[in-house]
Amino acid sequence: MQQLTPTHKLAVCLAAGVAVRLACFAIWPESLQRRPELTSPLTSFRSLQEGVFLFGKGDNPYTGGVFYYSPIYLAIFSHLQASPLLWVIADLMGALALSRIDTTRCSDDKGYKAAALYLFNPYILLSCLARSTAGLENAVLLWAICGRTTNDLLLSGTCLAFVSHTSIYPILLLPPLLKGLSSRQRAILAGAFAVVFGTIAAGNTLVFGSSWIRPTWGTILTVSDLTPNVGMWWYFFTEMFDHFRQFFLGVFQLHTAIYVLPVCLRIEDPLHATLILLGVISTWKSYPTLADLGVWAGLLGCFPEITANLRHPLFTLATYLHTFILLPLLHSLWLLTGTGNANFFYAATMVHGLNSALAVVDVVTAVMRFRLKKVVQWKDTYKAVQITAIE
Amino acid sequence: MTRLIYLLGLLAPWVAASLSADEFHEALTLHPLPDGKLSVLFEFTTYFSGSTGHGRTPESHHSLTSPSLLLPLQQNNVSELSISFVSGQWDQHRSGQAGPLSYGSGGGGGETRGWLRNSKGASPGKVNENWVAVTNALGGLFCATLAPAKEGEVVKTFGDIYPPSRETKQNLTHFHVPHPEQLLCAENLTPFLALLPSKGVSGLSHLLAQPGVVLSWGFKAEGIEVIMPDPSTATGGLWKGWWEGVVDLVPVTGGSRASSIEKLFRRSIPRVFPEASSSVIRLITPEQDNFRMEPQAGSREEQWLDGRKREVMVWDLMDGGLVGQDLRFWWENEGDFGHPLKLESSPISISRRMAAPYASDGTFVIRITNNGDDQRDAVYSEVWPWWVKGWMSEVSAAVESGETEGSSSELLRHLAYHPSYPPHPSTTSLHFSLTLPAHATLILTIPYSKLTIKYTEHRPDAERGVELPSGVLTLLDLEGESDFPNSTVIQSRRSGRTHIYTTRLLLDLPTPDFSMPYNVIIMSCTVMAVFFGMMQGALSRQWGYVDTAMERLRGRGKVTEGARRGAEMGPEGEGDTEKIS
Amino acid sequence: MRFAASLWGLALLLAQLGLVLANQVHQQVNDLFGHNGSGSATTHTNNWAVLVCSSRYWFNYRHMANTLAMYRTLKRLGMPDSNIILMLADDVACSARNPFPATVYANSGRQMDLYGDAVEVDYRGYEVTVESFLRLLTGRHAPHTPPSKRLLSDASSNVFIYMTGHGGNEFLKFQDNEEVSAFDIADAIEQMSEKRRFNKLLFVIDTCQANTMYSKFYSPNVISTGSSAIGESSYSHHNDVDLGTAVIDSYTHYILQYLETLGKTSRATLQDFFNTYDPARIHSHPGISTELSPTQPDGILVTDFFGGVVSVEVTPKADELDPLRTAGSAGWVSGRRRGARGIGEGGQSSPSPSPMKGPPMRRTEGVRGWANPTERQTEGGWVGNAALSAVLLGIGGYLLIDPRTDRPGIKRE
Repeated sequence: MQQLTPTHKLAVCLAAGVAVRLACFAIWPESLQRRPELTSPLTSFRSLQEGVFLFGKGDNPYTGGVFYYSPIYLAIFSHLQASPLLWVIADLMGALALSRIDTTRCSDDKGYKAAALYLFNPYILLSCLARSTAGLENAVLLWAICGRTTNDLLLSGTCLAFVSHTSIYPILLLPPLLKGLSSRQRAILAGAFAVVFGTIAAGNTLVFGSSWIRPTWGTILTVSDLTPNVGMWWYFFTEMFDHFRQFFLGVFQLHTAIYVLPVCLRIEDPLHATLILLGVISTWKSYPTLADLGVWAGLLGCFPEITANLRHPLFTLATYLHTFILLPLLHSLWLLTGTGNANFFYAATMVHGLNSALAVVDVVTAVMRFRLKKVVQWKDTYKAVQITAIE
Repeated sequence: MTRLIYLLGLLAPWVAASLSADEFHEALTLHPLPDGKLSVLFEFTTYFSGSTGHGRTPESHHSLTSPSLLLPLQQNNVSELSISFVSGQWDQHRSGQAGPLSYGSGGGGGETRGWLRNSKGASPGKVNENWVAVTNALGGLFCATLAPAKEGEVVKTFGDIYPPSRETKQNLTHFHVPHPEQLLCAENLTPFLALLPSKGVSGLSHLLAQPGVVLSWGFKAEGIEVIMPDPSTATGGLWKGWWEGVVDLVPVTGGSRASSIEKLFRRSIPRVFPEASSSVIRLITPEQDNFRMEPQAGSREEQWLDGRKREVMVWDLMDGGLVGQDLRFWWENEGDFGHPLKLESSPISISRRMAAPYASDGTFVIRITNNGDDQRDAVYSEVWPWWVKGWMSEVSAAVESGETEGSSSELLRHLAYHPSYPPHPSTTSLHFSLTLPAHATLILTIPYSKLTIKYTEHRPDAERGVELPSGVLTLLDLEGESDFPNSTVIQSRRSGRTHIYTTRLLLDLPTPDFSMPYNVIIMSCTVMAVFFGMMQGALSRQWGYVDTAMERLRGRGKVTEGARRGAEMGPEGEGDTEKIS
Repeated sequence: MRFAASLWGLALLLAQLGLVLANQVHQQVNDLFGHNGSGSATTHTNNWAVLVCSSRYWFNYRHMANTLAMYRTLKRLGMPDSNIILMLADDVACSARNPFPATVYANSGRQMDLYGDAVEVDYRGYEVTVESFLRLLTGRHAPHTPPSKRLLSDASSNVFIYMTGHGGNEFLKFQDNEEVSAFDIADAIEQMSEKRRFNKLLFVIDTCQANTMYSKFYSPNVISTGSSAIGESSYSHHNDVDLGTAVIDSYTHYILQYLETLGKTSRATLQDFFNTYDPARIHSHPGISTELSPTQPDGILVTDFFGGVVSVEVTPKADELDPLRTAGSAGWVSGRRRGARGIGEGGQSSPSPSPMKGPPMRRTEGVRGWANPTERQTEGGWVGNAALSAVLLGIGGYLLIDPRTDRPGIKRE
């Protein structure tokens, strides 16, 4: 067989991804749209349609209480029809961004491996089929990171502003992206971010006054919707007594944000820092879905040096497979057949969360090891260790 | 002379009383139903005059109405108020009627609704406070929960469904509070009887004052409706109390459905309440030739009931001729009762159920059957608690079998959607304007989701579920039930029943494990702590390396001083490295 | 002059005697009215009761029956519905599982229906919560709470609290969902004591390990009794096969059996009541706590807590006035005119007030904070009377036995 050039391989990979998605859209029922693992109240396609419907009728969609999208989504989807093609294109764009990151960083194979890893990751594939808007936001996020990698700072700032506006947590990625730039470049990035963010916010306020802040950002920050999802927050705040609610909300939000500074200080490569913080956000945000982990896994695919230094990748993958089966099963056992209770699903989310946490720590130690190996003339008999005690 | 004045002084209150003219009317209506049951309706109506007196404190003179009922209404500027308790289900198909005879009875459970006047110069929140005050006061009177549990649970969008009967809507605010979980029991009957002037001692209320008998019936409804006097037009007020039940005439093991007052109530016809202005027993004759009754009725009336003209026999009890006697009725030549094979249903009937495979999502399916010959206009209304969210973009209306065509937009003309504000206590109310085609069944589907509610917001018996209030179909094109000589009016519109109710629905809530708060906190915080600890370790510790070849020679894998001074992993990157020797 | 002086002295002496006699009359009047004849030195004008059934579900039928049987006993002994707060956490009478609708029985022979014709349940179903119970005791209600849901007792009320349900070591379960602890109830009762919401309080509790519930009380004038000691369960008494549940608890069954023997005028004391406890029959060890009460149980009548208290003043027939001729006038119809709550007054018939008699009859309901004025007079008056008597005696004696007057045989220099 004729040897395919890397560009061809990339093209085949992307085409195959698109084809699989189109085929699945044609045959798969819509029931995936309601799975809590793939969609959360913030990313649910059903509530997007409901909001657009009410907006079209002239009512304020935020008064209904299930619509948590930013008004910019209303603006887009009032004019754009929400066909499945949009999600396919978004995944395609995400894969393209990853391939570009990969080629820019190190590889000469045009990044088709990273693209394939992203497109055929079942988390991403199923989220696309569920038409979760996390897929759209992932694409924008990946272009933000890609822009930083290729030094296209305006693109990076714009995309990051958009995705921070719709789900707040990507704003934590701004510090690592700003790392390693000259002050002029930093000004461009931060300026682009601020301008776009402000414009979108101003546009929203023009249309809705200030009534959009509470349902969108307020829900993310105060966790007022307790629909089950794969995160650590929903059951915690379901069982919490009102007395302690504010305190624990503060603790959880702080916990997600607290890693920005240490990671940025300790990790010198901005992309490594971005990767680690993206992992932290995907695990500890208030309404995570599997798509968040999928985009992190896709980005991880662009760092072969890190994947080479992971301590327990097989364990992580196996546990992800394990929870991938258990989460929908135990959710159905709770809500469909009624033979289990909420604890079953909660236990599965705990396993999933712990696994993700361990995977993120693994990536951090892999980054450390990689740096050690870069600094020292490494021999095969060497073993990297953390210095825990002085003998 | 002084004696004359003294005499006049003694007579004056008596004269004033007769001038104020409180009138009390009572009626017992018996309505045999086609499926071997009997619907029994007690109605007690009192007319009273408005307040007199021109001083600052208006004086009210009532001889037959209790101040414990009227004072809360007067003090809180109530124009009209209606309270009803319904227990059991009314079977629309087997009974042939769309609902009970007491049109004022709401759907299942308890329901309170009223029109309050906005007092001039008062703050806008005052009328809300008045509503809370009056429902609390009457709730204490009736031993029931009538007040909204939280302020947000009052529904204010039902003003068009229950329009005021007297005043215009201009200066009035409508309030509606459904309590579908309310149960009707003897403690609701006791104050009802105490409010009546006859107190359950004489008159028809003596038949009612037996909780063991009337509360054993399958379907029971109790309610009051008060229309306060209108100060501007100086008209008097009226309050009506009703008690309805459906009793099975056929014994459990089978038998004849012949019955009598004594058989039903274990008492003969009681003595007349002396203050009553009228006291009648009415029997709506079934449409069968072999129906007999004894003694013969004093008079005969005709009444339109749900689109059918019915003959009503009336016995007047005021002359006391029937005291101590029995009123019997039976079907001639009918031995044991055999359930009819075919039952004629009412012109309009409605049913609601949910198709809910998932405990967290489902669909309400409402079937409205129009058996009449003409198209009807109606409004279907529902009230949901805040955690039931309907998907309005997925609502559809269709006709069941394909004969009559109609697109969804023709059948469902308009939707008034008043959503709730999760997670605040509030209600969602919906009003669907529908066109009911003739001889067809309209199916309205409303998909919904149940939001997850917090541990502290669940009821004590959370696994039982939460009742949804009844849906109400309001017919917009009725002609009333009086008999008009010209028959150009369409028959099926001859009815006094404006509202037809569905049953309540019991919604299963996905419950968290109520024994778990401590465990959940511990486990989630443990995962967080593990992550934090490991991250902190990974980020804050220095890294070195160990030459395993050398260590094997040394025997132990300890990190030596040399390795500690190994690769420095600071932010600057390059540190001095030293291989261990 | 001398005659006038001696007359004056005699008058003073007679006045003194009159005062003494008046004091005695006051004392007798005081004895008759001030302490309801019991002789104890406290004011007590009305009785209140709080009856709480804290369990839900059909299988806790017996707790409902306990509470309703206690309710009927109180009403039989004269307490009106307006003074009883009845809290039932579930409705078993009209429950679909009840084969005998609208009835609750406390014995398997189904002899007496406790629900009956006239029952007033103040807190029903979901309204019975720990919060509403504590709000009821402390009087801190949401605005617009109706009076039937408030404990409107005052400093001269004797309050009887009866609680039944499932409990344990220093807690009681409400609705199978939440708990109230012994400390909470102790604090609520302390608030009641500080706000002077009771004169005396009798706390009776029938649950498992009931005696631990009152072990934390620290307010004065509280007598408590419970059905079982720590580590012991409190058992049901017997079942009804048609109902399919137990119908009464052991402890409550036996105390009700005792209370059935009492009437409105009974002079049995609380000590007699406590003496009927028989741990062998009850199958648990009931406890009694009287250390917080200065008055011992043998000085307190059972009817001081249970039932209405009616003092009757017997006057000679000649004092009666002719009743006014009221037939036919708009206002008064004898005996029929009652408020909406009148039907709940149970066994006590309100006697038609005979107008314009001497001191009004003492009835437990409707009399709020009306301390005995005669007692107040005698309280302070006794000392004053003694001083005045001494002065008058002195003056009178001096005037009569004047050393300056001529007496035979003694001559002053």
